[in-house]
Amino acid sequence: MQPLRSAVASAVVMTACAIALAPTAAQADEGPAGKGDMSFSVIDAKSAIPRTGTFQLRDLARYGVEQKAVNRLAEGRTSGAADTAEKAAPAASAAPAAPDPAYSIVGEWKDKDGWDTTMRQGKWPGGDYGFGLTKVDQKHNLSLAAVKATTKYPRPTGGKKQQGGTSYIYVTDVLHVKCSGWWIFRTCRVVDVKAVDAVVNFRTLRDNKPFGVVTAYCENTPGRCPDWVRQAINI
Amino acid sequence: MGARPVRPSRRWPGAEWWAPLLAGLAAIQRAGAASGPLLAAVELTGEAPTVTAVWPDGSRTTVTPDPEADTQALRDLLAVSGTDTDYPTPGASDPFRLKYAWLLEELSGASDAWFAYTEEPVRLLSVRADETAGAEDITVGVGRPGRGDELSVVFRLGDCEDVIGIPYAIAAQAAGAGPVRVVPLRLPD
Repeated sequence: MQPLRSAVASAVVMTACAIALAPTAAQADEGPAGKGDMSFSVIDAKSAIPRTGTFQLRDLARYGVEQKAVNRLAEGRTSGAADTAEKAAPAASAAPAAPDPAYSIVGEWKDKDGWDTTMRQGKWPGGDYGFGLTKVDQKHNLSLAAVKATTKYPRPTGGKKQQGGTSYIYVTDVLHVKCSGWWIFRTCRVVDVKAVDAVVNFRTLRDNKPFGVVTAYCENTPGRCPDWVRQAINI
Repeated sequence: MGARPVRPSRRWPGAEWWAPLLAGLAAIQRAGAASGPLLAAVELTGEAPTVTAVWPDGSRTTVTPDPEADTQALRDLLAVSGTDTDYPTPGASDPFRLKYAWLLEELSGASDAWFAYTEEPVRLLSVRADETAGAEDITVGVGRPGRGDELSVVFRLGDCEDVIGIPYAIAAQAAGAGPVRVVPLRLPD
């Protein structure tokens, strides 16, 4: 009997330690950061996050959200890491400066299929004209990072389609999520969904780079996307 | 959820059915800007599209192309010659037909302006060009199935660099217009 009591006693001690560890790890985030209500937005790259019902915050990793993004959420950090940094960062480009600044390249990356994609500074003369980052940012309230993410993580089915000789349209879903409770065990539900479209023209210009992003917008929304779309945690 | 082409092209699944046709017509108009016909009317209603070409001698030809046909097949149907060429965006002083070709190309690559951009649905019904008496008017017919009506958006092209994105402008202006039959397209200052 003696060994069993020890085993039980040990088990009780270990369990107590496990419970203790969690609050300890979260102590730095005691208060609003570690528990309570929170809201955030996330790109549903695998179209796996349930749109109805509830799920736990920790389940996001299973739904395809990067673990480090989930960890940030657990700590109460709800904004995307790249938003302000990406907004106007000029890309290191070997191409000579374009004579028209609207065609200067402000971002270069590879899309989901490894295709070279560019974002040019662009212009927005008003209304629904224009192209590039200036229009995407000032008219539609989307960042370079948001557009890049749309082309890298479109819907798994039909998220990238050809819509012209050299034009492609990408679609991704950004979910607005509200959670309550504690740490990664928070109970969450999707309260809004916005589809983000990005149109990219791969026609090569004189600088041997693609024309790039023509426009990006929230579907059926000619104006500004909600701020929560721009601030997705995994952008 | 998610916006989709009303009738997707077989060649370009993300585009409306008329997109390849407009791209082919753009190439033909561009190649024949100096001496070929003006592709004066492209009608996209009805069972099949029609294209009316107006020749320099004033004669007209109307054909019914396969909207998925490639550019060479369209050339054969219209009995024109030419090859695809690369093109810069036309400036204000470039010929009207080059600007018109540019518009057809822009429309061909932006189907999403018609099914994903506006709050209410709009449909591209026709594109017409009129260069008689130096008018150089372009008229785009737009259907508004939600309201059961249609209207025309009329404009002239200056420097095309200033109106990149024009398909979105046409669609948005038509969607937002009141119950009118003709709408002048607002161009940037």
